[in-house]
Amino acid sequence: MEEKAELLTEEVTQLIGTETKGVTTLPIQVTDIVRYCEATGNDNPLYTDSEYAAGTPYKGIIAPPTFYQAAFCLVPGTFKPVPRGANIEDIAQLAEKLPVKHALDTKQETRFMCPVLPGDTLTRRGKITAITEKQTKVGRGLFCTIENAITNQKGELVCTEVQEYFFY
Amino acid sequence: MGHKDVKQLYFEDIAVGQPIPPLKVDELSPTTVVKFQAATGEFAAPHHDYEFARSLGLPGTILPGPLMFAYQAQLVTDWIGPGGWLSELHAGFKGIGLVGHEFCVEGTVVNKYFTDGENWVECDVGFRDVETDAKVTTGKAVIRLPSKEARPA
Repeated sequence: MEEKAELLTEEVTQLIGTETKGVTTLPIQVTDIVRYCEATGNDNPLYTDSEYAAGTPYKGIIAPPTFYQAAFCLVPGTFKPVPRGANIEDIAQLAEKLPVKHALDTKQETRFMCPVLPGDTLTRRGKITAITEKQTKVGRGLFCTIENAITNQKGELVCTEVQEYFFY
Repeated sequence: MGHKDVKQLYFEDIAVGQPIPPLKVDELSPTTVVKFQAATGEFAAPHHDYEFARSLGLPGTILPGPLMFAYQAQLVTDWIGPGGWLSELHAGFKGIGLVGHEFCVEGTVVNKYFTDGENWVECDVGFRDVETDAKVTTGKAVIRLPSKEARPA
């Protein structure tokens, strides 16, 4: 093993507390929701069957709870990536300058306030709340925590999330 | 397209210690992962490129965290029915989920209470590799359920 470098540099530390750029999706399509359900083997009719969903408290199809994550990766209905704002990519770029190569999801916590509906446009805003350096069984690296709030076009809070990644 | 019979779950149906009907993922195939990556637009290579994954020292291609998170949510939403609400979902990614393995998503009720005019249920939930018996994720879910009885406002 080479000498351990100090990963938590001043440049990295300065990222703590910084806000990410807001990112807004295009309108969510029913086909985006159905494709997500097909991919995850989710045949719950609340998400895929408009006739069934019309008889539920929602009066129509809603997206599965975790669908919002997909909405921020691709522009709906296309293979064009949604710009991810200043959060994880900036940190990943910074991590590239350090003796770390890999990233792992280590934690995901979401609180859901209201459903995502077809036609919604979602906006995500967030900030980096913590970066700590630790030795783990896969190596020495940086745990990074990001907190996001996702709102819809009416300004309603759809969900909040805490994500933690390990860069090593 | 036929679909599963999703029943409504009520607060009165719940007992602490009760298991959630498990969600079995018989073989989490490369095709499933590719479909998920296409549906989400997260194309990180360790999830679909075996040689690349091996070059990172991984035993094979690995499941995306958001896919396991989605299955955890599905365990709950299949169970609670359309009148229930998944309020909180947590996942700690404790290990690597290998593509091609068989998995089981499972959970247990750990608490139930009435507060702020709503019925709440807390469950431990997780994603287990059936072949190795390793817990790939551990987490919890907090859900809100309707009551069979009208409660005073």
